[in-house]
Amino acid sequence: MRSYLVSRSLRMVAVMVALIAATFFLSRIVADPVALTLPMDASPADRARVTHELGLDKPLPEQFVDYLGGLFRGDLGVSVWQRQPALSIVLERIPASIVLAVATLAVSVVIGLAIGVAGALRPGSLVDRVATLASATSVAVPDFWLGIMLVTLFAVQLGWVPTSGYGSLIQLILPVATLAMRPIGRLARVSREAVLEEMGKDYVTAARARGLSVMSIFRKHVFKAIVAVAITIAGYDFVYVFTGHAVGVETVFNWPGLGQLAVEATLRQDVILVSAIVLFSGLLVTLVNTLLDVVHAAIDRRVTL
Amino acid sequence: MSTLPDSLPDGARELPSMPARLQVEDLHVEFSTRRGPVPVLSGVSLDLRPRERVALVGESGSGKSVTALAIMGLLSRNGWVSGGSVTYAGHDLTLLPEKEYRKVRGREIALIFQDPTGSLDPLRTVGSQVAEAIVTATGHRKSDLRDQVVQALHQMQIPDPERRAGQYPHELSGGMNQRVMIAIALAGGPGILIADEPTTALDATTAAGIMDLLGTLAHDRDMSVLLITHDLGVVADFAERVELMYAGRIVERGPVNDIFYRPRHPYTIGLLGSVPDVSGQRVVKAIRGSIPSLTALPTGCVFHPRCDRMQERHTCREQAPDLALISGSDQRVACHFSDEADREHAAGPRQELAEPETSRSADTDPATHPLVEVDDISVVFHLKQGLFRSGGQVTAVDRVSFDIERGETLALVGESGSGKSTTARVVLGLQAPTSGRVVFDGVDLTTGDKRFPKGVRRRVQAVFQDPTSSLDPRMLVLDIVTEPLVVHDLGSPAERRQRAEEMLDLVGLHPEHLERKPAEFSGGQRQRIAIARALIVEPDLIVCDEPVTALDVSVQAQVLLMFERIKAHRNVSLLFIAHDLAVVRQIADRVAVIYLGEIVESGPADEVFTRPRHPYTRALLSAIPVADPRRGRDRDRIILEGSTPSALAPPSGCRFHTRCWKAEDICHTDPPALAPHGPALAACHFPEEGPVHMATPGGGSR
Repeated sequence: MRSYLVSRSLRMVAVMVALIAATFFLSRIVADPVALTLPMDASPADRARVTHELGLDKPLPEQFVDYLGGLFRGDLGVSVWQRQPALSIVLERIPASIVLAVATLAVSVVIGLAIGVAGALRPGSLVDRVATLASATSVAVPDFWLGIMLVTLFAVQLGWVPTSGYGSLIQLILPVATLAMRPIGRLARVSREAVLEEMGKDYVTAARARGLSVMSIFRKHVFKAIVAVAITIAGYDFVYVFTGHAVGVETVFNWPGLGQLAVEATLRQDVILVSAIVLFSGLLVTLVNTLLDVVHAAIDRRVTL
Repeated sequence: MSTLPDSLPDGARELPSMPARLQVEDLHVEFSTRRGPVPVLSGVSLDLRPRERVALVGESGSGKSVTALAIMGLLSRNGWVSGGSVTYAGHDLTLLPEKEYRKVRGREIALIFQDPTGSLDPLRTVGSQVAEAIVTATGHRKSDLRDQVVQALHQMQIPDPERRAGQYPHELSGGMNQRVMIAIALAGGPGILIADEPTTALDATTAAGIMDLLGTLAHDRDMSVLLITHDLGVVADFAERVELMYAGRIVERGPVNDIFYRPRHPYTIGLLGSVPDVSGQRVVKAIRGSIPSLTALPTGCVFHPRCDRMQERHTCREQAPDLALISGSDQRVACHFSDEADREHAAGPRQELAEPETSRSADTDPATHPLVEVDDISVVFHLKQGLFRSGGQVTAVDRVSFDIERGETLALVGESGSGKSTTARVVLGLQAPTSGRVVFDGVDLTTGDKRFPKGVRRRVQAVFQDPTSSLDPRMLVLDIVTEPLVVHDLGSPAERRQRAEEMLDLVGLHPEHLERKPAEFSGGQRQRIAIARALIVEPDLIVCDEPVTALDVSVQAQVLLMFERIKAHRNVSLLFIAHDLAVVRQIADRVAVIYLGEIVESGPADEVFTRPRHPYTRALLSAIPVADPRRGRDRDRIILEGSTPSALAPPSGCRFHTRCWKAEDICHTDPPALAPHGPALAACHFPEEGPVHMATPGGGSR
């Protein structure tokens, strides 16, 4: 287990280094910060000055070293658009994103597992068939559309919840409901299959043969295996919620998270800020996935082989 | 439906003082399928008396495991008891509600399965699973639970139980896991243990230890054991009484000696004849045909399509026989003409299917070189190397050398992990050796660009263990069998077809089978197709990797006989990889025994089987259950301690020294060389001298 922890941590660091390098070089390839900083009609002298100020006249490897040094000092550059350090802008948005991601993940794991397990324990029953149909549908619905529909129904028509905004628990309901739909469907399907597979294994028959009830076998043996599976899926879902898909939902609900910020920063061609966002979410996703892998290994030691 | 109204009184007469502990009466079980309900058990009756060891014997699909599950009330969702009863302690278990049934399972009747590793929860330590069983059985958690667990593992003769208790199933060997399973099953102190193929997934030397343990435990704990198995050797060693199943029915029942020495049912007789004899004194005979599908059972006596005794009599085709008592004995048999068994015995072998003994010495011309020369090959595998993990290495094959003459069959024998299959892959050119040479008919196959010249590729063909996965399910048999001809660009389509028909004929199939797909054939027939495919290009060598291991005993005999016929007529050499010494005895001219990648003994089959020099060969021979109760129980038994060491860290000196009863200091340090002993070679510092003790077959009564 210890050697697994060490090797998994080293692998995480390697991925992070690769991520930092990719972010840096991509940002240098796709845009010219000098042109973005200065007005269109700036003089060549101004250009040279800004180029020098930003350190862009140095060779690329040297720039990378400077960039790395900046990272360690907490300096991700200055946003061209907001004229503020990119780090502080990102940090300001992080809590909202994390609240959304964690709430979505918690809701989807609990509901998804419950639906999947309920169906699997009585395969072919009405509950099972409804759950299977619902989870198949939920995976197919685009979330920006679902978001708008939910707002129209619950906020505009019924007036139960506010249409948008951030700050209170009640404002969390619609965005989470929208975002969690797809993970719930996926987890329900995967956990249903996993339960059915585990319950069909020899060790379950062996446990029944020594007098354990199906429910206690599920509790004592099978559930652990299902959690191991759910963790893997939850890892994907975290990435899914935290990166791509929150962008649309945050826009619909005016949620001040990283996704919304990313949209605005991209529209304003703020390369520095976009890079900071990409880097930050990338590092966070890497960290979370490593943690989930470790939890998975703690549950199933065979992973460490 | 055959009922047995008289089974109880007779049962009582057999042993009047002992009422049965468990009584199965006229049990019927059906399974639902897409084509409607299928009868899996059709009137099975059996008794288990206190301390009795009964074997329930049958081939695949006979319903023996379903019987066990039905007794335990553990039939899967699509199966149900449709008639009959299972009586235990005055209650019909089939009527018990699930909650009551749970009190019977584990505490009264325990069950262990074939795959010990799969029967344990992979995510929990074995100790915690034993602990759970103890708590379930006793109903409360005592403070000394940990000690109880260690004690239980210790009673199963698991070395170092404290450490083992903290390990996970994947860290233990199969034999060790089976011991854990037995500890778990016995935690509730059951009076009855049902063991469903408990040793089938294990190596011979490990299996012998498990059967030994089961025998001791049954005796010490006053248990009745219902042993479910397909292996007649295990039955002969272990059981007192035998119930023989065929197609969901019991066809013969009786004391073990009666079943083995005076079998009455033609199926019993055929099955016994199908078992290869490790002493080499009896030639395998086969039952024709294959086990019927439960969806299309024959009318009347279910065995009649395969029966030689029937002789087109209408009774057999129209009327199902009862399991009737043979007067003056404790034996029952379900055959209309069981009284003819005596006449058949008097008339000698039932069937002359056995080939005349082919000349065991290959026609060697001393002037020419052997067909295959394997010269000092080693295969080293490097373990998966992570980004930050240095991989170790495994020497799967360590400096192995052997020759195969033209027309000769060399058997390479070893247990799992011995490197025998890797060696086969090297000879097939599927695996490049790390060092050493393979020379085929004078052509060095291992130097140069390491690819077989196409001419050689044609001359070396392969047959693998699993005939299902070695045939493409989407291809017609015609395309499968002629594919080698297409690859080597031989013949026109018409000629290919004709060749394919000849080959099918040779392996005992019909030309019309060419237009079918593999799924329409039974396992044995699929293996015949695979053999036809190997033979069609007239190879000089066929490498057979466990070719009969996946087959039922009666089918295995058919395929073995076919190999013999091919050997006799085609002058083809076989490299025969197997773990079953009895099978090897049947077919091999020469034998090489391999342990942890090294050949420990090799020589002419007769020599190695009768005068084995290496202690491992002796242990292996003694571990094989002999399908002959008297001979089996008389023979010298060597039960090896521990299990095969990991190939990752092979022992120093002689690799066998960790399990060898003769090992001395020199064995720990100096690896013995393969040295000549008589006509054989053995790698041992203290080779055995005398012949092994093998009583004559049948003890003279057959």
